[in-house]
Amino acid sequence: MKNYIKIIALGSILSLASCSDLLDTEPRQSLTPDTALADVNGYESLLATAYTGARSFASYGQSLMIAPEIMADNLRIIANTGRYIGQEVNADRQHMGLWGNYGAINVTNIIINGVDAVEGDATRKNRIKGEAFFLRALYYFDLAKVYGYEPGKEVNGWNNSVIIRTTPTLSFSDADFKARSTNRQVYDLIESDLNTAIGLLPSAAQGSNGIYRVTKGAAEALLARAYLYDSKLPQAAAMATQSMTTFNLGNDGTGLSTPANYVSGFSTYPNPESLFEIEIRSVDWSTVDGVNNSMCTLTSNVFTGAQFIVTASSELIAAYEIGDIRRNAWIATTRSGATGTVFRSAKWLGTKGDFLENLPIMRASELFLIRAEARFRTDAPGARSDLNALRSKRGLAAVDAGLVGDALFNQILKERRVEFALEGHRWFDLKRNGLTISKHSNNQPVPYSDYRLLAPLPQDQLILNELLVDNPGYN
Amino acid sequence: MRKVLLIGFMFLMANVVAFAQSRVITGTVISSEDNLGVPGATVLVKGTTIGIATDLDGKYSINVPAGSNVLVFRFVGLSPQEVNIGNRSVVDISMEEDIQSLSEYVVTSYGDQSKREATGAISSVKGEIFENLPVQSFDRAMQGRIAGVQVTSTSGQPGGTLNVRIRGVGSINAGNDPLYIIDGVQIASGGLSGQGNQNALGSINPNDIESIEVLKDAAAAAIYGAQAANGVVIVTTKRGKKGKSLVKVSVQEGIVQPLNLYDVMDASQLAGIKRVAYQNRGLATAGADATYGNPEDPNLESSDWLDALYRTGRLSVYDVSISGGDEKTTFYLSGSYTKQEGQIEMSDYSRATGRLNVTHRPSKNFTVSANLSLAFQNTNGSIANGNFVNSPFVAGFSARPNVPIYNEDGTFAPYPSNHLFGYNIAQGVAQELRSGKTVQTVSNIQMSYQIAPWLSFTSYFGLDFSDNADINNRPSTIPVFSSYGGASTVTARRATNFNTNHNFNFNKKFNDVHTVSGILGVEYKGSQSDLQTATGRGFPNPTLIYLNNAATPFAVGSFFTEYKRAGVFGQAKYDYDDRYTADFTLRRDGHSRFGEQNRWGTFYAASAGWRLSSEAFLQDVTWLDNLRVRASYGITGNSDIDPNDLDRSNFGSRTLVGSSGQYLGQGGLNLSQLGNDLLTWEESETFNFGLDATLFNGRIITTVDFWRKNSKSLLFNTPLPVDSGFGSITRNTGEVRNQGVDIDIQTVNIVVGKFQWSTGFNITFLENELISLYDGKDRVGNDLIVGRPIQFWYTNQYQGVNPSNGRAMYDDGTGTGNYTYIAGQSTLDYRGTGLPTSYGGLSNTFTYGPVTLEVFFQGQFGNIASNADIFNLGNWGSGTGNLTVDQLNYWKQPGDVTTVGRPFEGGQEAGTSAVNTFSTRLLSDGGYVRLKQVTLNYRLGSAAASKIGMASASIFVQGLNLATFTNFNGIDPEVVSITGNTTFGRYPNARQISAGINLNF
Repeated sequence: MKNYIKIIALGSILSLASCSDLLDTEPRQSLTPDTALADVNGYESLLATAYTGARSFASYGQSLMIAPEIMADNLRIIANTGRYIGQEVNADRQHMGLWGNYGAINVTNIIINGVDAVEGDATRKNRIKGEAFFLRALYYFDLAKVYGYEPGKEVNGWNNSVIIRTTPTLSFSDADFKARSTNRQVYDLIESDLNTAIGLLPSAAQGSNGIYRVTKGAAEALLARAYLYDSKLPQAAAMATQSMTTFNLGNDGTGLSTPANYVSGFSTYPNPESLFEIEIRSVDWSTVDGVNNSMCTLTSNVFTGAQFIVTASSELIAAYEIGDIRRNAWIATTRSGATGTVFRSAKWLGTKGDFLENLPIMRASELFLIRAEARFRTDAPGARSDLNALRSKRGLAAVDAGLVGDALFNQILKERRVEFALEGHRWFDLKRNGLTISKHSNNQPVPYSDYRLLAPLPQDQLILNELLVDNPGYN
Repeated sequence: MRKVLLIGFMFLMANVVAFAQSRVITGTVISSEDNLGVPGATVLVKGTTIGIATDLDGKYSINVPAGSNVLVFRFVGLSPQEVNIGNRSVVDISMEEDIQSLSEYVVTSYGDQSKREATGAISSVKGEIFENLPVQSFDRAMQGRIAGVQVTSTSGQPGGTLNVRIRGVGSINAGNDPLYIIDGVQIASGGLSGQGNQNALGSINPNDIESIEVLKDAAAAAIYGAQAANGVVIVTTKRGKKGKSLVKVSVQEGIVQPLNLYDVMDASQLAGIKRVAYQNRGLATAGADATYGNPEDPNLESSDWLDALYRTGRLSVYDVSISGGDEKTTFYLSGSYTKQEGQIEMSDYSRATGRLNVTHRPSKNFTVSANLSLAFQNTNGSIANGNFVNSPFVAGFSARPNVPIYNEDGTFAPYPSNHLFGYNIAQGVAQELRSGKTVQTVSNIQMSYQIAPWLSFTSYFGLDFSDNADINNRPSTIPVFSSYGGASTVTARRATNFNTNHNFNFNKKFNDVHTVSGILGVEYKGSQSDLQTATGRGFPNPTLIYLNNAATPFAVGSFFTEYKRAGVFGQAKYDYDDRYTADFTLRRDGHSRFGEQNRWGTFYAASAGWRLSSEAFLQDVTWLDNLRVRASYGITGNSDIDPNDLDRSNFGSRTLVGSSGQYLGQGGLNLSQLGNDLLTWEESETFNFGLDATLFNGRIITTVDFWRKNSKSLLFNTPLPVDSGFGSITRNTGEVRNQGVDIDIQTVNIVVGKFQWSTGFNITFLENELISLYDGKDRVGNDLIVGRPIQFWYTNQYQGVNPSNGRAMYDDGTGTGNYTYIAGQSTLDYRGTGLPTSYGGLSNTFTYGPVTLEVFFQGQFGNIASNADIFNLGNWGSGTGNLTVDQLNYWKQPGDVTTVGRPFEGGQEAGTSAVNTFSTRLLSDGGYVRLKQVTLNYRLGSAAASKIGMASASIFVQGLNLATFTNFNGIDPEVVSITGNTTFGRYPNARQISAGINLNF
């Protein structure tokens, strides 16, 4: 009998003894911040995350490439899958949504505020920090373009831009509520971040593998773009020149793709004209992202199962001059359910296999167009020669030497339109110049003063954060 | 314990008065278990109110009037018996233990207690109620059977999971599932497989279950402290009894049918409306004709996609058990196999179970017992519950009728790439493999030592272990998967839940009237689960599906999580003379999920009962068999931090840095979660006031409970501004109140000769209200509003189609009732709750001799349900797929009064919100009454049965989900009712009709 008691007692003691580490557990696939960010390697890993924000489908992965085209006059829907149907007709609230950028912005803030304090090679730390400054500027720039007017282009004085956060959220108390900053403040931050980045970043050759990470030249190029949006035109021209110097681009267009290589460049990784390109690997996608969400599936029919929902508008096709090699970025084909000839994109061909391709964020030709526009708007010489340098690499003759004024400006805009078709510039090029958003076929143009020029803020954030006000016109 | 019961009944029955006299019958009632007299048993003259109770030795003497010839013997815990007196003057009977009446006992894993004593709110359902029902898990068997317990399907997938909510929904983000305890094992509920909805509770064969008890209030559940806030479901499996071995065999075969599919258009109907949509958009109708066919073409053929996808499936249930034992050892051994085909091709469920429950007494004072079970579940799942192009519940209805399903040669035809991503749903369902196989054991060992007659010690060890292997193969024969040569994803999951407790149980009676009993113990629980998954692509042959056949390793993933919990608990109970009962429970629990300083929480409950019917002043009320009132108050806990968030659920108190993709081969890290080291238990405070009554010699048995449950310090994901980089942080804040009344009535309505009609009815009325949120806020977006229930619809009020132009009108939100075409934030408002305000069940049983018919209805009321299928099937011809035929009644010209507006390709008319704007157009009354079950059973007479060598035999036919009465606008109101928003493409429940045979040897 006593034996039974002993057995039970032993069992009980054993089972209790086994819980001596009573309530200790480990989240084995995660680290604490102290461990993870103890050295420069941790920040390098954070930086990888900061890059991934750019390839999300709300950003350059899809929406920032397609929406600015279809919300203006470059694309039209040829298959109704529900996607971009509202954007095509500029329906209420059918816009771009980039509030998710703040996730990556917080990562850049952690890096910028923390990397200096850890052990590690100073060059490496500077580079990481420089990349973080660049990426923070890029994400804020995209937010500013979508949610606010450019400085000096306000309608009815509406200068609200987005919320600025430059300190990291590391704990609950950091996640306080903030109001929107002015567009001036946001652009100041973008320009300051990029200037800092330029001082920290190394250089790499245009079109080399080095441009998968941001470089000094890319920061200069983005800063030139920011100055242009900000109407700081002499600075824009100067910074474009500086970037061209960094990338060894000649004023005559040397360094740009030849006419024979323009289209194929988009199936070359990296694109020979890329100043900054986001690399995507198949592991970055879930099994269905290629067929569901990639640029290739939406704009082309090269793979079985591709959705091919958008094609070039006839207005865009008509915008190509005869002999323009860029016209070859559209290949005539047919689409069941769509009448007549439609065009599939030859820029987004998924040449890495199964819809996979990289995302060029900035290409060299943009520097010529930035400088041409900046020079034109400041009446500085060289606008036409910058255009001609680009045109010489696109199979086109020089523009008329007497081209001036509105005609020249329109030529610059048209050059941008065809150069960057399906690269997400069109809407922003019209908007930042205060122009009516022109539309294709029978869709109604959107006057610059229309409330739909600015995206609505996320509804849940407006309710949550009493300091936040929506853009005008959204009920 | 038994003695207390007996004495109580004596008091009750001693006052039953005998009237007319004709002859005196005497006799002794003994229990077959110990051959001892049964004191306090009722002896009734059938068809009269004449009755008497047996004395302390089980003897009785009763006057039986002329014309009466049948005595009815009843005693709690024993099977009632009817005996023909014949010419006898002495009728001795031996009563057998009634295994079905265990509801009178409440089983907790720390020791049993009589329900008669229990002062908490406890409901139970006996195994016999659902024995041989072709349901795969016991949670489904509880549906409509227990007051205060709401059971709804999340999916009609055979063997799928269910939502069980006990007394409402108290938590906003934390888990609302009850704690399930199977023979003392605290198991993990939920799904096991990623490829089909596979219920973890399905590893228990319902036919092995003796009884299910549901502990609803704090008094009943506080002994489980930390986990008990959502109630506790205690399942007890069958045990052997000493004596002759009993062999039971049952076989059942049946069919499974779709319930109520949408009626969709044929090719010419769809082509017609699409032409109009193109015209109205200003597009060439040739485009419509090219896509949908020419509606005027008399040769336009229609494909019947539903016919290719849906089927009448087969169900089979085979069960065998043997039980028995002797003085020292009892056992119950069972095996089962069940297979049920779903209503969708390729979707099915099969399960094999084995169980051995054995109890051995090596000595008078020592008992060791083990319950060992092993179950193998295999689910072939369907893609469901979302707007997926490869879900038969979406694409089956949407697929264009003008597109052929098959080629001439019988192979699958390609589907146009501009719809459903070019996915031929019939091919996808037929060729994609979605298999989940799980081996699971829920087993325990228990040792008890009787230290003294009043004191025992028990050590208990329980294990819930499951091992799952999923495979999803997408062969290259399906065009959309051909670009990469097909893919297989293999996933392995392993979950281990271990719990052990060690406790003293005591029970001592003083001076014949004071009974003190209680429990004192410690408990520990550990839970770990992990997952590994890998995907390979590029299979040289579509019949090869294993990863080593893949050309390209494509993706890998893994996951690990764990938690630990420890607690000490005590319970003391005092009973005075079976009249007054008081009960106090105290428990202290620590949980690894919480911040180091806040891990431990204290839970308690106090309750009291007063049996009025034992008082002298009610002794003369002969029709009142039992009347008792109970009251309880207590606090129980909830530690299930957002179970949908894998990091947060077990590590919500910690700030985590986790993996976040890669860039250029550099693995990414990110701050994946903001921790809150102040995090501690969510608490549930329960008040319960109950009344138990038995009237008219047991003809009416009723329990009514009034309750209020305040869920406080909620583990609430308080929103953070997204610009901070985080969406939310879990804090202990907010309060939700559920209150209601549970009513349960069992009546025997008519007893005439061989005919008996009895009724079981239960209903729960409840209301849910958000009392507070956080930081004084009165709302979170449009999702939570103080003063409202925690699930509701906040949307546009649809005002119908404007007859003048065919556009959708919405209330403009100004309060004037005027309409607008553009819905926006200002037009949104509260449009009703998604939570039912009442639910219940009604069972009627008619017996005539050997024939029994049970008719069981189950229903719920008061909830507004959404049906997102309307976005696809009722979009007024604006979409790209097929539509329900009611869409043909679309607006054609000014003045048309219709519910279907002007077809407009794309649905995005300038100056009008998109046709698929969410509004009350998608909402309807989610209430329903369902004829859940009809069973007709014929029991062979024992004489006839013994002729064929059996103790008893019966045959039965039964139907499940036979009819539904509802105004819901979708397929199945049951699969939408709790979970709110995701109402696309739900896998509906099926109708099941089966017949079977039970043999007892």
